[in-house]
Amino acid sequence: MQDTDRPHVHGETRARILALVKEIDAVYKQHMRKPTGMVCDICNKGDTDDIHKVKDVVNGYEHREHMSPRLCYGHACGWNTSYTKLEYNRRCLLLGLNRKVFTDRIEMSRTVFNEPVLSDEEVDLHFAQYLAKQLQKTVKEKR
Amino acid sequence: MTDKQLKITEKTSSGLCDALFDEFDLLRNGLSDAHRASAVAKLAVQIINTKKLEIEAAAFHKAGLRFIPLALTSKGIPIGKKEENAETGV
Repeated sequence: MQDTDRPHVHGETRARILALVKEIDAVYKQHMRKPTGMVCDICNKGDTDDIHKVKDVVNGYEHREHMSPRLCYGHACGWNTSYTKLEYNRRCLLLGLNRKVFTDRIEMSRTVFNEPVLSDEEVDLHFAQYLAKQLQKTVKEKR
Repeated sequence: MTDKQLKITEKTSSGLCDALFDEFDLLRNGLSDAHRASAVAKLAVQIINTKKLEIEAAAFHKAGLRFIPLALTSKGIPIGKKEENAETGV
């Protein structure tokens, strides 16, 4: 049987590539596990673990990072859900589709918008609404 | 209240967000109480709803719809007037 691995030809190169892969992996893991050192603007909590970290740029603020609030994993997920829903509804409205109809949902998924459908003002306003809800929630917990 | 204590909110959507963040800070540091925070949140919701309505109205206006201020004029249309006219044929 012919030896396809051919270590006498590829052995040295393979070992170098594998060493590089391990180095890249180490750098990546070191970077990903590094704590952000930031705290959430709403609950004032920091990172909980390697995955659940504070986000400094949240959805809807990608094009104006300096304006973005810092949110912990939980609040970032909550805001993401709220923002995505608003954006989806607006897209449906612009296309004249009903989001409850299955065929319309497929049509929606096939449509790509070149420009953002929500203005900065609307995003800010929606975020203010999210904040007001969170404030009411905090008040309920305090009582 | 002196000028130093007077805090003026920037009258924009991001200014409203800042005001709410300030309220979070005050509540966290014990400088505000639940009643005040609740009032701020409710007031913010009212402002947001008004602003959303304005944006919606602006979108309709941009699309060519002209608003008739029925509620503000004395010549409002009484409810059921149209149906009565249809029956009498006037």
